[in-house]
Amino acid sequence: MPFADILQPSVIVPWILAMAFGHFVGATPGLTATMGVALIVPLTFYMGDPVAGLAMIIGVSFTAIFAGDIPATYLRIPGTPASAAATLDGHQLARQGKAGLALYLDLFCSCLGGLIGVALLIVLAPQLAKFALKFSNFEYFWLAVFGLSMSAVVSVGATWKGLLAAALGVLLATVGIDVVSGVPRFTFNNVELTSGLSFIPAMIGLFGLSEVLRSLARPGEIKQTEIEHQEKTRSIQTLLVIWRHKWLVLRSSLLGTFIGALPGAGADIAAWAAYGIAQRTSKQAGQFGKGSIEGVIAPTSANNAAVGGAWIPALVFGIPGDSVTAIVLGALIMYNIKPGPLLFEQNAGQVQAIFWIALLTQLFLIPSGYLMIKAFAWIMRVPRSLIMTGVVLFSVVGAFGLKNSLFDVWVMIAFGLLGFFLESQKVPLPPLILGLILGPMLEEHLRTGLIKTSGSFLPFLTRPICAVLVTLLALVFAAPIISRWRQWRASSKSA
Amino acid sequence: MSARLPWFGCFLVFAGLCGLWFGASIRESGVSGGHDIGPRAFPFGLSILLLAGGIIDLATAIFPGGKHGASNAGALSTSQTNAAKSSHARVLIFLGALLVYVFALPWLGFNLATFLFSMGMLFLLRARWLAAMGFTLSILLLIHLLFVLLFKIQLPRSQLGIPF
Repeated sequence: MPFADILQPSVIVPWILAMAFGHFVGATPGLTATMGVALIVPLTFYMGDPVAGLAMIIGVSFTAIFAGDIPATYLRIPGTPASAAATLDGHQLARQGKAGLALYLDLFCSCLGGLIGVALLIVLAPQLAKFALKFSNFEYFWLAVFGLSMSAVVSVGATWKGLLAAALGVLLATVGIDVVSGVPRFTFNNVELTSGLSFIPAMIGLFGLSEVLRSLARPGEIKQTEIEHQEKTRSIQTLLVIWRHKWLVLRSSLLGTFIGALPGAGADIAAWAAYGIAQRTSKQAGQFGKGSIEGVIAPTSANNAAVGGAWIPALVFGIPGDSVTAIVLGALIMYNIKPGPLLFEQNAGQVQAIFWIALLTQLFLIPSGYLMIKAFAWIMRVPRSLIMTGVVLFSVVGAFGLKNSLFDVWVMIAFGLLGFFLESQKVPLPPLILGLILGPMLEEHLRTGLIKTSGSFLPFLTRPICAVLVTLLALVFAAPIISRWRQWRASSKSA
Repeated sequence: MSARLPWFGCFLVFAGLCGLWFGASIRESGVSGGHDIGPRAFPFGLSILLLAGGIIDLATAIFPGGKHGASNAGALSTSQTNAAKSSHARVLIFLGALLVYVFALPWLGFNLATFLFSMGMLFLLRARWLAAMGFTLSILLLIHLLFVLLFKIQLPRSQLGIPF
């Protein structure tokens, strides 16, 4: 797709508005990047041009992740979970009168981390796609199993709860007409259920409505504490600081991209991992938690890099790297863009557009982020009650507007209740979402593979790529057990 | 130490039993000469997995002793208990209002139903009435501009003939 096509007003205007929305969502504690994407996806269907829709989605996801660092610095309240790691040192710097330095570090490191993540996406994804052309039913089956297992293991909370959440997601995905045999399942003679549970309303419910319910269940309001007497910081000063820590930025961004590419892991895990590694390798480890500049640089580079990394498995295999790309996959399918290795041949123009948009978003992030930092004080004056009401109304209208169906609104409410209940029981949601997305892939490839092999499971184990995937799967489950066994051995030796 | 509340276990057992009960009505297809595991395999297998997981979770909750049997929290103070009760009441009232709102949409029409729901929700959240009125009218206008005029979506109209 020609670069000039992306710079049309019909793309640029919604793109910039979506970035503004992403900043607002990210900077407001309690609203997440995933919620922002879930709410904006229904709007993108009416753009007419899928490129404009993709620009809006990419714009929201990158800006929301950055904007979450702003309340993290000023209020010690992360705007999104991905900014939690940046709270530790960002807020301490603000208390020392260096909020400007912390926020400009957030901004430039987010931009650099995002650029590195997107650059890796552009370089790696097409190469992986060529390799993925060798995949058949057998390999895709194990890839789906690997994706589900990975999400259960890396998600916050007990692994067994993650696995059961994944199983629940796969079970919910069986609603509708069975792809292999054409038999209706769990449709209860309802026409609306023959095409299965609508994915986008389910996501709006899980991330929009459930967050409103959580806010209502939390007593009290967020109190704003002013941090006064801030030093003025110049951008050039910040850039010199970043140049002195350039290897930390690069290392954190690479780590963030890799973690972002793991199914179920996301920007929040990437940020914490980068923070932990930066602390362990720093010459001034004692400063972490007391206003360390490295403590701000590492997580903010990693979290935006992870956003780019999450697109790698999403585009190449149709396996989302995080909750945001899970929603994006649903949107791509509605645009008739089928993720997978053939995407790079059949929809080369749109893939190019995604790459350009992702790159340019990082550059647009600088001026928009700068304005957002200035506007933050105004946003914090908007009462939470108004924000929550707005989220509910847009959730209802968004869910209804997709197919002009009140049934989708009921699906949205049901998943909102489910998400609220599961999170109250400390059950992670990413495995559930992956189960909804990967369930059909898992079942279809298993059954088609068995039909091809006349019922024999042996090729699922003996094909070379399958054998590698099975080994990786075994390592994913064995690693925590081995680690615990080593800890037990070490403690019984010392005892 | 008291046993933790086994809500997740109960939910899994319920989901598993529902899956097995309703899955029994899925007819087998007889496609591919018996090499296909059939459309019932996944629903049944997953339901059994959920049922088993639920029973294990219930057992560890009812018979605490392992790490899963830990209690939820220490005793709450009176003010914390009252605050928690008030929050639960808020959630239930909101859910009730949301259900009534969605039921009422085809009868009252989108504008009236949304106006009533929004004002009710803001009243529940203790917003000032002037701010609530201003916000509700603004958001109705925004939705109308965005969804109806720009995206040409037909929002629900009143079956009772209410004009707005």
